[in-house]
Amino acid sequence: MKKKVLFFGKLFIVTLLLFVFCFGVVMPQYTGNYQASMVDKAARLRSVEGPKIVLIGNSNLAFGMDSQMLEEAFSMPVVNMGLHGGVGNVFNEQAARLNVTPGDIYVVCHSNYDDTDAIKNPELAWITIENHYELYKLIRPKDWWDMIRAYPTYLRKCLGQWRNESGNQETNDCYRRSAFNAYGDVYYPRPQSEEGIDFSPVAIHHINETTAKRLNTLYDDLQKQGADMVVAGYPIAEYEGTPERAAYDEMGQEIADALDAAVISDFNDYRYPTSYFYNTYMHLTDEGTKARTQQLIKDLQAYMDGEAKYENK
Amino acid sequence: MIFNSVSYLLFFPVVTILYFAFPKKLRNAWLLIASYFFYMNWNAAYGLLLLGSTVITYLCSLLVEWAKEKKQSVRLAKAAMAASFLLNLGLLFYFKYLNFAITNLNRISSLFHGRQLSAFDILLPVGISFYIFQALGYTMDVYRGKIKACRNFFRYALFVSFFPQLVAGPIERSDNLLPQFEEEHTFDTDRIREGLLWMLWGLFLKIVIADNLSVYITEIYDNYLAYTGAEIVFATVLFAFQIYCDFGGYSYIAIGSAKVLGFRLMDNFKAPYLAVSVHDFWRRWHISLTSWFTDYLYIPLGGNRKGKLRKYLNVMIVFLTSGLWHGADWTYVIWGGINGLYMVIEEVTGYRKKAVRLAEKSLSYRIFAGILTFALVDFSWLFFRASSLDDVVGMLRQIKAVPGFHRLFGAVFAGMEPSLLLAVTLALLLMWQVDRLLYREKNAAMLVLSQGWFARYLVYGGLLLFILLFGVYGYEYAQTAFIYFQF
Repeated sequence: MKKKVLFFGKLFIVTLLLFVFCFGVVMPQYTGNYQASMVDKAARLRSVEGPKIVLIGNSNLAFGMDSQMLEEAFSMPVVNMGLHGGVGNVFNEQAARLNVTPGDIYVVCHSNYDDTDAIKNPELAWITIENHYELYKLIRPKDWWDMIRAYPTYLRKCLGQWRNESGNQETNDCYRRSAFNAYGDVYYPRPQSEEGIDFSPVAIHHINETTAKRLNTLYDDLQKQGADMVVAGYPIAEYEGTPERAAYDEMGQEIADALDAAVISDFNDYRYPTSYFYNTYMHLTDEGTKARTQQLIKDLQAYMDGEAKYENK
Repeated sequence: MIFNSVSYLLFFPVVTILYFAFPKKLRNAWLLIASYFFYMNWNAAYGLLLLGSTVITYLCSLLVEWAKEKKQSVRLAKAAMAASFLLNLGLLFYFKYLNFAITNLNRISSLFHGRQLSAFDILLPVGISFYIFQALGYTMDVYRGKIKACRNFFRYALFVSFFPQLVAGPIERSDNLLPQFEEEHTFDTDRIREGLLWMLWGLFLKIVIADNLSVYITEIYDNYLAYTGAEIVFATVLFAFQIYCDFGGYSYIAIGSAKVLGFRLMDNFKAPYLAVSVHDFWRRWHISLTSWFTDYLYIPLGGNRKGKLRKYLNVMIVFLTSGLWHGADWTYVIWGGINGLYMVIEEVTGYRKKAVRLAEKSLSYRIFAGILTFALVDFSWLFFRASSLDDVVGMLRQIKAVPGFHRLFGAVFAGMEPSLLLAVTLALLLMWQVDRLLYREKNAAMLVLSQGWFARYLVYGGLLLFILLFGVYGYEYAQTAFIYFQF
């Protein structure tokens, strides 16, 4: 019996040491990375007392919102939680649950509503949360198995950087933590459009039942806590392959029909010339950001005045 | 699930803890459930195939024994055994060789402008070659009276499906493994520590050595025209270590896993690259398969009992069949044939016995013989590793036309980052030292476990650190699949 106890005791200690090594010594390795800005965004979200506007979505928000303009328009603090489409809608939406207070307005600006209800890239999710335990709330219980399976891949990259002492460094471009301002916007100067942007992914994404169900659950949960949730538009590049306006009208109506939350934008109002796009079909230049923010202000104002863009079924 | 995955890291402790927590009468049932769960994790339909092969060999073996003992009819017994072989080999043929047969028939047909048959879209079930051979070995053992037919279907099903050795061996013998399912296995911490150490060693071989070498080898073999002869030769030398560490690593994890649970599996490798002749190599490489072919093909063909010429023919048949067992491609058959030829030449020249005698007497001869044997075996690995015969011919031409020894070390050092190169080199040296112990029939794990706590923990910690820092793991790494899973 004593031998068994000693055996399990030693095994436990070895496992604990391994855990401490991985989570305490090796991690984090991406604190200078673009994804690490989630730490700052979450910190801001938690620090804001009272009603606030929280922007939920992917990098179309990070590279396409002037939160200060929004804040001044509504005299409400704004937190831009938009980060990376690579982690998927599920991960991005979880940010809405971090600090809900009565009077909050959650503005969902996904660029697609047909996901598979899973974290799209669990390795990228690990790069985002690393050993910042306060961010582990961004992972739903059902997503933890995918995260566990992805952990070795993430760990290996971390170990490689730890070995070479090349971790936690920032790049010189817009994809770094310090490219974000206090609101969570990328404020790295983007005066003009870069060459060679691929606009072919611009397409209609019909909402599916999985995404609708999840968003409706989120809406209910927020409502129960005295908060509100709306759905707004995302930047759409106007090039020769962009679907017709009627298709976006139809898409907007479909989303409005499927969701309990109000769809406050006409998606066609977010169509911009390609010169407004910075380096991808989702990221806006400074000029594009300003135009998009002004449009969102209009949409939010109209919503607050009781106007509806679409009639919910 | 594969051994070097998070899933197995969770699956194995759960299975083990519950195995020892359950009362003895439930343990085999638990292992059977776990084994089928393990196998069906790849594809649920595979479970049916495994069950099918199990049922066929179970029933046929009962019939064989009944025919011999009750009916005194050797003919009926032989028919039952033949049925078991035909049905199981039929399954194997369908899943593994049908498209190969169709391709070759089409080649012959095209010479006469005949009809071309369409290939089938068939997925090769993982481990089929292994468990079918294991089940057939059991049938043959019952026929020979080596073992009594197992009456308990579930115990027999566990013998065929036992998860540590199900998908890539060792191909167990019924008289070794089957009786162990009737034994009581205690929670012995010393045995468990040894098992865990072998598992750690297997992981070390696989993900530190094999998978790191694989990156370099794959690049050269897939793009051999861009590389010199020296680089191709070097990649082939490295492949010898990759396949050994990959398959050997798997075997150690299998043996270690079984040991933790209290089961003894047969050794599958005994320092093969320290062999002093090709005969010696084949006594040390994939021992379970070599001995299977010896007992169930070579001996029934007559072995060495029907004269020298017949013996050489039997050796060639065994090795060509072994080549075919490894894969449905002529490159594997030729690989097998080359090794068969080596064996025959060693017999004809008397080298087999001479090499052992001289190696025992002289260290320098042992080194010479070892290098020669390695070179011969490694030449055959080129056929084993190449994607096609055309590639083999292309690489041999490249080796002759563009030797390029001046580029060799540049390529080696450019291919890997320095710390990784050093780590893999150290790992290979460590592997060599462990193999030297195995060559002298010493149990390396017991040697470590008999040391003081500082030395032991240094070994555990060192292996773990190597695995963590230099191992190739994570689901995005394609080379993490074990090579022998494709057989």
